[in-house]
Order: sequence, then structure tokens, then C-alpha cells
Amino acid sequence: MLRITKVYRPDNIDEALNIFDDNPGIRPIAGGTDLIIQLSDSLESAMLLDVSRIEKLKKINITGGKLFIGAAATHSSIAKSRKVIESAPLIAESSGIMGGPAIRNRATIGGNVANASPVAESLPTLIAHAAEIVLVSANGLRKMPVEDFHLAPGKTALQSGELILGFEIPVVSEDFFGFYNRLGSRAAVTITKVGVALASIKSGDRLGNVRIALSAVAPRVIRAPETEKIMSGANLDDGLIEQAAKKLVSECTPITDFRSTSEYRSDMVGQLFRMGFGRETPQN
Amino acid sequence: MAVGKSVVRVDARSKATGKAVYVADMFMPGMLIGKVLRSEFPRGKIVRLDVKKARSIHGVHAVLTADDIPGKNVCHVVFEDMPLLATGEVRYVGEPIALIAAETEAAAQLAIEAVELDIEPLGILIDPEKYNSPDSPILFGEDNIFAHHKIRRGDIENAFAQSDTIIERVYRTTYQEHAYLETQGMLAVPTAEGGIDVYGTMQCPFYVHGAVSDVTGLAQSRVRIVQTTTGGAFGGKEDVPSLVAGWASVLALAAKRPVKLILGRTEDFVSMSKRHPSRVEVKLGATKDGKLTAAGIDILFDGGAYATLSPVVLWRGTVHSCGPYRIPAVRVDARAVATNKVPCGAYRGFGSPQTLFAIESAIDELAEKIGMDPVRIREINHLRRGDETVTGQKLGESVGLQECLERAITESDYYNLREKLHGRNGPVKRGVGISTIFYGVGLGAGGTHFARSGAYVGIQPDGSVQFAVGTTEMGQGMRTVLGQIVAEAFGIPFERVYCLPVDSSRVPDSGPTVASRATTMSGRAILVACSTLKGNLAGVIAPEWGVSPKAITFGENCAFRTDNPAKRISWNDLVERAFAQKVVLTIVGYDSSPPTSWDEDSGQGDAYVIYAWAVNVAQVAVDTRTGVVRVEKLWAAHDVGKAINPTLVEGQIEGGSVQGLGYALTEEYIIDKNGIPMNPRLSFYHIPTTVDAPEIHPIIVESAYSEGPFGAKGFGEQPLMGIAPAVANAVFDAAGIRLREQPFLPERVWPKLKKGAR
Repeated sequence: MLRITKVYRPDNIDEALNIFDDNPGIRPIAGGTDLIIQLSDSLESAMLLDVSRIEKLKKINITGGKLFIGAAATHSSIAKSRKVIESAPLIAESSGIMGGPAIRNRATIGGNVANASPVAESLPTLIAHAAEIVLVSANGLRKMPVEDFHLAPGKTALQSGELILGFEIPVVSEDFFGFYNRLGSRAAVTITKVGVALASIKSGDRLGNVRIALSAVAPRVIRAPETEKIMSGANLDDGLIEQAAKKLVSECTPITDFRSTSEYRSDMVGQLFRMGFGRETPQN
Repeated sequence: MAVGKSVVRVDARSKATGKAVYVADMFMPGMLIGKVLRSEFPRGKIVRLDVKKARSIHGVHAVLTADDIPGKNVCHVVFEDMPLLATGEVRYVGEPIALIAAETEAAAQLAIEAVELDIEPLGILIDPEKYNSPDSPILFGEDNIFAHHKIRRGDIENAFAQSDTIIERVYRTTYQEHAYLETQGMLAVPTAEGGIDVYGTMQCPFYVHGAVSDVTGLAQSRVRIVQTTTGGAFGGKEDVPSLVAGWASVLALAAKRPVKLILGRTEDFVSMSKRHPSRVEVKLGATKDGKLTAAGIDILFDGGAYATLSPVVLWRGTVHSCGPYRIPAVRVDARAVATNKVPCGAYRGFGSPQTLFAIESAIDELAEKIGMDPVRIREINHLRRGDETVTGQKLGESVGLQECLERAITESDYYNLREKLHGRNGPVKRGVGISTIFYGVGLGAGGTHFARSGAYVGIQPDGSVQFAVGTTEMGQGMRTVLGQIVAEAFGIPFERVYCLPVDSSRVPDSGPTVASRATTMSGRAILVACSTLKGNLAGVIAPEWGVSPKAITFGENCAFRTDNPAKRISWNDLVERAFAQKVVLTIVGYDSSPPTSWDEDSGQGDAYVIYAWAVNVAQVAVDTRTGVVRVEKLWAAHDVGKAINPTLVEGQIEGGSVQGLGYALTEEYIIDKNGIPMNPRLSFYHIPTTVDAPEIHPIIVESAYSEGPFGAKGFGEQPLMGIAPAVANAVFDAAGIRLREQPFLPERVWPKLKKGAR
């Protein structure tokens, strides 16, 4: 049952940080599409810090070759943003398929990352795009790669008193090649049961700067360093893709749960990867 | 005038605009919130249940256990084995143990947490196939069997011996959750004179009426049940609302205040009825030219912790288990058994989707073995007028299966479509599958004692007409269709007719709103009432016209001489004169169903008064890279006797088909080997979205039923029933893999594709 004892709705970051100081244990909330469900299931009461009025947290802009997406930007606004579509296309894509329209209109990218689920829609694409998370506290700003931020299911590197300000993502060049392929349980409004994101730079028949992120195949969203190594700089042909797909499968450790089986997830990591190079998107 | 027209549903606007009042929207002065404390164990002994602390919490007005129930601690369905509240032992996760009524949700929740409860786990039976294993506990009777039904026809051994081809296969199906938009809920209001009024979401107000009287100990005369706007049911509000109403009622009487008890989604999911999981073993024999010779079928249904509706669900499953075919020799054995899981009950199709999945898959497998087209084997064997069903029932009329088959084949362009789809290359394989099914309309021989209906019809002084029936609107469009029947009977515009909400004090016990029976049964009762009222009205004018009242016809908003239509009086003028002469213009019509027969030992008899028929043709795409099956197109031909409202018939076909697709492809409710529900919420249990829905071509076939209102027969359940086998057969056609376990999740399809097994 929901037991909310207090809700603060600050208008700016400073105010939010002060409230943080005065109310230890207060939980930041934006769209609430994960948090409210968790609180409803919990017997604990909670204080909430609603950050959805802080304008700075909703910004999407480009400065110094980097795209900034505020933590409280909704998935709808990200999916529709020209800046995101052009500068970090996979992130626009993952925000565009997450949940259904009602969820996308409320849920935010910061919330998705803070929730730290291994099936989070935004994590694989942020990681593939080499995004850094920007954290703010009374001590100032702190940045780290998103992949280092997500530690375990439900666990992040967020420290007490810290808020997620947003994400900085290098703007892709014209020779960007990448894809985000995932499977869910139906055609829409579905949670990912296996996902593969790949970002790279293509020159001729070779890929460089290959970054691969996999969701729902390990306790957290993971990189695939060995596969990336095989791919980087090598001649992109069917043989390489096949070799890389096999390596990729060996780099994940999926489990069987009520959403899928470990065998299916393993096989699909390879399949989604192969389909990505044919510029094909799997259908549910 | 009104029948056969697609008038807009009377409840469409109020539901679409949010004005419709559901029980959760209702408030009463002094109203309390009801809550249920439930078992977290699949089986255990209640060794301690102390509610003292819970009762002392501020704002809590009642905390009740089995000992506090003023009447009988029982929810009567078929047997009386299920208690309203657990006593001594709990038998499934979610079983109710104690009830709370409090001023706020928070106080009720605190009280739940304050109940001191110790349960000592006992041995469990989870896998129904182990019902007779020596290690399994006995949960029901002496052998865990809730019911055993049989069909015995012809010399089965000899018939198999004479068969040229025989196949033996096992098919399995799992739970299906109704996922109605509105969860279960009731509001019980004690009356000043010691009675109780209960408002809520339900299919069967007269079941609720009996149940509330049983558990409160109040005379039935002091119990009144009112159905509120019901947001979907699909069978899920057949028997279990009796529990919810019982809880709310005993709380309201104890607290002497109105109590509203609405289930949360997960609570509803865990504790309310489901479609029975099944294992169906089919042995089929045929001659080399495809004529069916024998069917041996063994059915096992997982009934859950209490019998509830299992015996009758199993009966329908049994009667439908051989499909709509002529088979001279048949042996069916069907058992529903007890397990420590949620009691299963009614769900659109009522036991038939499980057995039809098996037989309709098996027919295709048999055809494949003979080397015959799936359509051809059906053409050879399907039931026609004059044939006998496997229960020995001679089919006299309204057998529209052949027309359904012809039209589905023609409109889908089945043969060309198959060839075209097979000709395409690429990793996505496409194919076409078919299913032919039938549906016994109404309760049939399994429920003759409920096969009655009443209708109140009242002509108002201004000439408008109000009516009420004992069957319920749950989204299927009944109020609209019955309004059309009233309008047609009197020959007045549909807009002049209004259907009142269902209230148990307004009409006689009309049995349950199940078995696709509302249109036919309430329609018949309405026609009885209208006929009497027309007689009364005709009697007003007949002496003046010098004819018998029987020689007067109603239509075109008038009454006129049948032999001289120019001699007429307008409806309004006639009603006005009737009122002036104090003629009775308000009446209750009553009707009972035509007879059925059944011999329990041989499974022979006239199982149902009439049958509806259907053919589904499904076009699927199987992605051989992922195992994902998508249904792209669906042609669904249904013989409904007469479409009173064609748009509503199409709506039923489309909605039921999509529900059938969920059953076929994505819906899987998992209770693990320890009896714990794994995914009781709608984000983890995947019903299809509109994006998943295929292109659906509804085909209406009208082979009139002479005893039905204007030829209509019920068919509301049928659209769901044959989808899963049509999809399985299409997957085989597309990719050469045979799916014998529903749902066809990619996790099941992919390993078969990988093996490339045929």
C-alpha cells in the first residue's frame, strides 16, 4: 500500500539539494512509473522529492560536441527530439519503443537509469553511445560512464545527497553505424527479454570504436569487450559477423525466469546481432 | 424494423465518456473499506489466528474469521466444498482467511498486518498429473477427482483395429486469466429493517443472491442484489462474485455500516478463477480415404483447490472433445482433479478451448499422415443436418457449418493464398491454418435446473417501454440486442425502449449469464411477455374493429388488422386507450429452455438444445530467426442463427478472436512448483494489444434456429474457442513444426525450428 508521508516539489536544483540535506532518506521521483509501483508493493512509508518541475532537468541540448539529455526528460520528448534522433539515434529509438504512449509520456530517462534494471530500455543504448552520467550534489558535479553507474539489479553508484542531473553523449559522426535490436513478449507495451545495442564508426568495410551493450542477459546491462575487440578494425564480412555473434553469446550469462529461458536468450543475443547487420529489426 | 440493424450500443456513450458508474465509483454515508487477509502458503494448517490486536486498531470496525460468519461458511457452486473463509487449513496461495472493515484503506492495511497468524506448511500437490501418485496428499474425496465424465459410443477396439491410419498425440494447455478491465468488487449496504442490499460487478445476480443469504443467514426475501456497470467478465464473474459479495455482506452486518470491498489487480489475479490447465491425449483413427473411424480421448483438467465449477466446465469440454465430426466409435474419459492452486472456473468457452485445441490439432496431424489437405478431411467428416453427434444427438436444424466452411475458404481464397505464401522466400515463413468448431448453446444437459429466464416488460403511459431481465450486461451488448427484440416485437422504434439495470427483486431467477445464453433465453422470456401485452392491447381495439385480437398485427409504430393493414391505430393512441381502460400493461414473462437429455454412464443424449458453428482461417508469419509467431490475417465465419445486431456480432468475433490469440500466443500465468504465483500482474502477463491484433474478417452465417428469438442462437464464447488450433495448424503449414503446447511462445517455437523437426 502506498504510504507517502511528504512530497516536496522544488523549482530548481539548489532547492532540491537543500531538501535532500534536510530530509535524509527522501526518494527523488520524476514520472514515478517504477517507483510508485515499488512503493505500493512495499510496507515502508516514503518521502518524495518530485524533480519534475525543475526546468534544467528536462533540457535536451547540444554543447561542445556533446548532447545533453536532462534526467527528467520524458521518453516521449526524447523519442521526438530532432537533436537526439540526429546525435544519438539509438537513444531516440529505445525511448520510442519503451512501454506504451502513456508510460513514455510520464517516464523519464533518469528514472529508467536510476531504477537500475538489467532490462532497462535506456541503459544499453546509453552505454553503446558512450554516455556519461552527470551527478550533482552539495559538493558539486561528478561524471562517470553509465556502464560504471549501473552496479547490480536495483543498485547504482548514486551516493546519498546526489541527484542525477542528466547524460552527456558524444554526438555521432556521419559515418555512424549502429543498431538496437530487442525482443519483448508482444508487439507493444512490453518489457525487453533480450536486447543488443551496437554503436560504431564505419569506414569502408571496417568498423571502428565498436561498443556493444547487452540487456537482460546478465545481472546488469553489460558490455561485450571481447566481441568489440574482434570487430574493431576487422573487415566486416559474413565470416566476421558469424565469429563475433558466437563470441557475443559466450560473453553473456542469461538466466531462466518467468520472462524467458537462458537458452533462448543466449541464442537471441546472436540472432539479434546478426539481424542488426542486415539492418533488420525483429518483430514481436 | 429493429432486428437485423446495427444500432449503436446503448451503453457506448456512457462508457466511452467515463460517465458509467462502476461499483468502485460508489460511495455511501458511513461507508467502510473492506479488505481480505490471504494465505501466502499453498497448503498449511492454521495453528494460530488471533485478531485481538487487529480489532483494537483505530478506525477498524470489524475483523472477522470463519468463526464470525453468521450463516454457513460455504460458497455453494456445484458442491459445497469451498468455504467463504478458510477454517483449519489453507489450500492455495491467496485463499481468504480473515476480513477487515475499516474507515480508511490505511487502517484496514494496518489491521491486516496486526492479525497474528501462524500457518504450519503441509504437503502439497501442484502437478495435476500426480493426482493419483502415492506421494500426493488427498485434497478432495478419496482420490482427488472432482468429476469424471465419459462418452461411450460404438465398439472402439474394433473400430481402431479396422482403421487404416491411427495417430496418438498429447496436447497441453495452461491457465488463462480473464484480465477484465474492472477487478472484482462489491458494496454491501445493511438496510434499516435488517436486510441487505448488495451492489457490484457480476454475471450471475441470482448466484450472488443465494450466496449472500447462505453466509449471512438472512432470509432470501431480505436480500437484494443489484448489478452495477460491469467492466468485462468473460466467465470470471460467474461464481467468484459470490465470494466477494459474501465477504462484503458479513462485514457490513458486523460493522452495521455499508462496506465496499474492491480487489486490487494482483489480489484479483492471484485469488480469482482461471481457465483450467489441461492435458488431452487424443487417439484418432481413419480410413485411407480420410473418413474418421474412431476417437479415444483422455482429458485431465487441473481444477485447483476447490471444485467450484470444475464438474460442469469439464462436462462441456467432454461434449466438445471430438470436434464437430461424425465419428462412429468414441471413448472419452475426462477427469478434473484437485491441486493446491487457485480454483479454476469459467472462462469463455468453458472447458471447450482446451479440448478443441487438441482435436483440431489432431485432425490436422491425421490429415498430414494420410497425405490429405486439412480442409478436405474436414469436408469429409464434418457434421451436417440429419447427422448424429458423438453423444448420439440427431441434428435437426440450424447446422451452418458447411456454409461457414465454404465462406471462410472462399473469402480467404484459402488454396491460392497458401500457394502464394509458400512461394515466398526468406527467413520469415508464412502459412495458413484452419479450425472447424461448434458450440452447444446454453446450459444444456449439464445445467438444466438453471435453464429458465424471466423478463419484466412495462409499457409506460407515454408509449415508451421499459424492460428488465435477469441476465446481465458485461460488455457483450445484451441490453442493446434485447432492446431491439422488444422494439421488433411491438413494432416501435428502438429509441422508445429502455433496459433497466439488473436487480434481483425485479425479475424472477433467470439462471446465470453464461453459456452464451442471454440473447436466446432472455429474448424468449421477452417475447413471452410481449406476446401477452400485445394480446392485452389488441383486446382494447379488437371489438371496435369486429375481429379477434389474434387478427391484429403490430408494426410500423401501429396496430393494424392483419387482413386489412389500412385499418390501423397508432401505438401511442392504443396505449393511451389501454391505460384509460385500466388494461394490464406491465408483466413478467417467464420461459424455460427446450428439453435436453443425458446419460452419465454412456455420455449419450441430447446434450444441448442447439449448436452454433464456426470456421477460422489464420494466416501466420513465423520468423525462423527468433521463433516469433505473428498472426497476420484471420477469417472467422460464425453461424449465429440470426444476427440481431450485425455490428455487435462482428465486435464479438473480433474481441473473441483477439482473446483467442492471446491464449494461443502470449498469455502464460505461471504458478511454480512450490505453488507460488510468479507473474500476477498485467505487465508480466501479456494480453494482446491493438498492435498485436491481426486483420480480422468477420463472416456472419445465419442458419436460423426456430426456437430462438427471430432465429438467433448464442455464440458469444465461440470466437475465442478455435483460434489456438487454427494458429498451431498455420504454424505447421508455414514452418513444418507442430506445436502441441499452448501458448506458442518463441521460447517453445525456437527449439523446434532449431531442430528443424517435422
